[in-house]
Amino acid sequence: MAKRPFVKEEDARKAAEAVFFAQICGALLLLPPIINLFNKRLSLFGVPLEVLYLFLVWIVLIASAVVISASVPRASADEQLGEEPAQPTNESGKEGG
Amino acid sequence: MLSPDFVILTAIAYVGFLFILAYVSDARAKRGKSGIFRSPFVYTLSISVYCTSWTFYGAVGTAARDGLEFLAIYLGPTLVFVGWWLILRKLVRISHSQRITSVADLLSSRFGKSSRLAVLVTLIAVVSVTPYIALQLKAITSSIQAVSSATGSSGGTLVGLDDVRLAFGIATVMAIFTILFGTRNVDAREQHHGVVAAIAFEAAVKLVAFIAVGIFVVYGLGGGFEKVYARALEAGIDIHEKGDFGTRWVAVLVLSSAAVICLPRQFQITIVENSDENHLRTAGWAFPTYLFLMSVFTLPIALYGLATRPADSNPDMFILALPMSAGNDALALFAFIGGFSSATSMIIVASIALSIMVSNHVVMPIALRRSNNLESTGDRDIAQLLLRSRRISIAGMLFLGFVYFWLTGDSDALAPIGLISFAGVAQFLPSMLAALYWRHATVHGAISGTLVGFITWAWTTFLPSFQSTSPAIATLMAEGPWGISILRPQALFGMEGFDPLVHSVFWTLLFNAGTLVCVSLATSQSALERIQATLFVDIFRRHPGSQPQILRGSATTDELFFVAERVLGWQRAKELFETSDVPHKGASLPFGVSSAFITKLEREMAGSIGAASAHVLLSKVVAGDSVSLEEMMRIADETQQVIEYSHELEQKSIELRSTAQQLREANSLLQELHRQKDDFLSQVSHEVRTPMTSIRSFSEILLMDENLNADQRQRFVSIIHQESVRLTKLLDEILDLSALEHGESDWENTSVDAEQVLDRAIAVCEALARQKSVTVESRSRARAGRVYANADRLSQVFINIIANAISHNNAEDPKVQITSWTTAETYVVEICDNGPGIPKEYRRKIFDKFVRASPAADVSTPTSGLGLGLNISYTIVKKMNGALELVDGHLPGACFRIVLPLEGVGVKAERARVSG
Repeated sequence: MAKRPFVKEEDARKAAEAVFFAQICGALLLLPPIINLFNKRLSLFGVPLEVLYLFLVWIVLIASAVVISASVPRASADEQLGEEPAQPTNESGKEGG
Repeated sequence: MLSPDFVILTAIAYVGFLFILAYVSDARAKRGKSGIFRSPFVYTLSISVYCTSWTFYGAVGTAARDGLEFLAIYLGPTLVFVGWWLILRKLVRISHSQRITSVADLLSSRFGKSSRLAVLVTLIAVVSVTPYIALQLKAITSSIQAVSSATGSSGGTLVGLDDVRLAFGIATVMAIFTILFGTRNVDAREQHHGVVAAIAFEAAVKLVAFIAVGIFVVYGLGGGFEKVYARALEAGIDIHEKGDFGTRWVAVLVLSSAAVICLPRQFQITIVENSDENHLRTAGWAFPTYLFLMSVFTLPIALYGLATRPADSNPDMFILALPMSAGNDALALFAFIGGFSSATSMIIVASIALSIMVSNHVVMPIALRRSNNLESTGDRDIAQLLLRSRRISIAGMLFLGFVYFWLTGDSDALAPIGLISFAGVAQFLPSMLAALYWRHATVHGAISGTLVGFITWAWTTFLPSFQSTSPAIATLMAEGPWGISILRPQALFGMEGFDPLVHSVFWTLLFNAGTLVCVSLATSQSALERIQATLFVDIFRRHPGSQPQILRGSATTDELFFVAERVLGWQRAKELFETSDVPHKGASLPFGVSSAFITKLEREMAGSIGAASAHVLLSKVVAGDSVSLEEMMRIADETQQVIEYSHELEQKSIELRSTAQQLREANSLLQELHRQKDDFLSQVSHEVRTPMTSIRSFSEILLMDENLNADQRQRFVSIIHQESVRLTKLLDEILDLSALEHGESDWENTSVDAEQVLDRAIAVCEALARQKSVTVESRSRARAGRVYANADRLSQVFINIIANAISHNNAEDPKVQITSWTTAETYVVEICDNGPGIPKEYRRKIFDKFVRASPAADVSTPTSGLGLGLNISYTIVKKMNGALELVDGHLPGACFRIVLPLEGVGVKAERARVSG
């Protein structure tokens, strides 16, 4: 994914829409009635078609997740915490393992 | 055949290795060198704590019994993770900014830091997850059995250890591990580096083990996927789905999607232990890939097992039995370690998550309620109290799991227990989605929805799971309570013929979400809820650092430090106070603590003891003069009113300013008019004075000088006469002008033919023209032009302009041209001459009073105008809705144009067009 000079909010909105769309499509492919179109007691290379179909959809979902992850804007450390950076935390009093 | 001792010792050695791993990574994290342990891949691996022994062993069993259903358990989480940008990212962001420590904390914090909701969620979590822990214990004991006695005979033969004792031993070891690494400290963000490292390692082990067995079975024993399926077909096994994918497939998909967010252990690992939001970016595709790899071999292993193993063997244990029957003990042991890993990692994380919930939401509130005065806690440090309660609850949780395991004995397959648990925690889903996306969901809605869902779940799913052990429950299920068949747990309201799971998921989620929505609509939010709702729902819209300031404080710093120290420990409390520049020692003087600091302190404390408890605790200290939220809102309302009032004032002052401006303008206009009047008077006086002076001097001469001859007398008298005529004319014109300007009472517009008026005017001027030998020519003329005007006045205008044109014309061949025409709406007359014209400097004010374009020397001649004629004409034409203007004509001299509207037409637009 090439870095395009988008405004960040615009990027985030587009990302959210794309992700939502991918999720809906994925769910549709995995739910009846579409899934039952491939459940016809057929085999391909000796493997049941429905099994191949499900794994294929799965691979497509993973691929779309890779694309999504590569294209959505990154969150900066400031944004994540709301304010100051995390402090070193393992300094509780007298207790300890 | 492996000896049981060897298997158990291997397991113990493995746990020992986990101890070391956890210890090392904890130590590294403490030194700030967490590096590799905080990578996105370690995070992803740790999320796969989702794959428990239920997955490891049970998936093969499910595949053998129910075909592809096991895939739904992985596909649900895949969908959720592919869409991580939508839900998981929001959860992580909220949890980081609000220091959320668990599912219960999330919901309680969102719904106004409600303790009741937190307790309810904790209770549901404990009830749903305990069977799940029992399931892991069961998986471990049966796997030890399976791997050490291939015949699968009952336990009790293992060097004096029966199943129960074995399970108890495992539970104890797990409890020790979890207590050591899960409760090392009360962490601000509840992150456990050592545990995460161990879990990630275990995740890698179980994946490698499962794939190793898969490759061994499919390629080593079966000869490839195709042959495995072919062999299954030969053995008479149906390799296809036993029917359409129906409601049960959908229900499992929904449940697994819900579980990967709502299960306390998943929430703990995915949300709470997340150290960087960007790790989700990797997990978004890597976790689905992990699940994919975990399930590629499941179906072939199941089919191969079904085809080759005796019919009575347990398909849940195929993954151990297949390598063993092929004589590959090492692989079987590895597979056992893989299964052991998946079971232990689940036990560890689930018990940490539950213990945090129990200690923060059940123990803390009780402790806080019991000690009204914090002073009385003495040296009972709150942090210590928390740690102790966590340790006890971990032990308690594992003990509960053990008891459940002990009671249910060796019933049923693994999968049903897992799904029961999933259905239980799925009851958090409606509230959670409402928490993230529905601003107006109320705490009453969340509590009642979750409670109704939980009760329905207990009735339709949990209770029936005891069917086989309790005859009373079996009767109840067959006949319904008190014989009311409509309330039968698995046929609620007569909904029969559905799979029990589908039945339960449908009713529980319907009731849960329905109640949530209805009650939320019927009740209203408290002020705190409203604030929290905005914080949660609009987390991405908020500017960083803008926390609402919930507690106003003028508590003494000593008191605050006292509380902070007890929760956070002395060291961290000191750091917190010092970084915020708040004195904490010996400052008994009330130091003005900013509310921002109190908010920050509350948030830090929430990271340790939960939002609800932190709020209660701090409220107690600041309670001295704390302002209740309602009061705050009231104050805010008042402020709002003041702002509105001042806004009104501002509005008024703007109005006043504009009025003053108008007055100023009117005033300057008046002054201008006054000045004009003065000018007029002085001009009139000047005009009157000249003839008066000559009249006076000539009459004096006549009076004094008696030697004048008749001729001279005659001349002087005639001058006096001329001058008095001139004077009269001037006064007439002034009166005329005054009458015009102040509105003539007898002014009357009637319909007249302007052409006739023009003809008459030309005739009147003929004498004058002949006298001055000027040619007056009418060029093209309109034949008729009916206008609405006063005929006499119009004639006056024409005569005035024509007479001017004649009398001022001193050209060699003087002439005046008169043209007239009509357009669609106007009647136009142009009167042009070839005289000297109007000099440039006079053109703009030629229609003003007393303006004469000719040199002053002419004044004395009787023919010269007084400078009022054009002004009067101008005023007259205007009164007839027309226009008089000076234009550039085709002759060299002046050219006046008179435009009058034809009868019944406005002139303004037309005037613009004609002149333009």
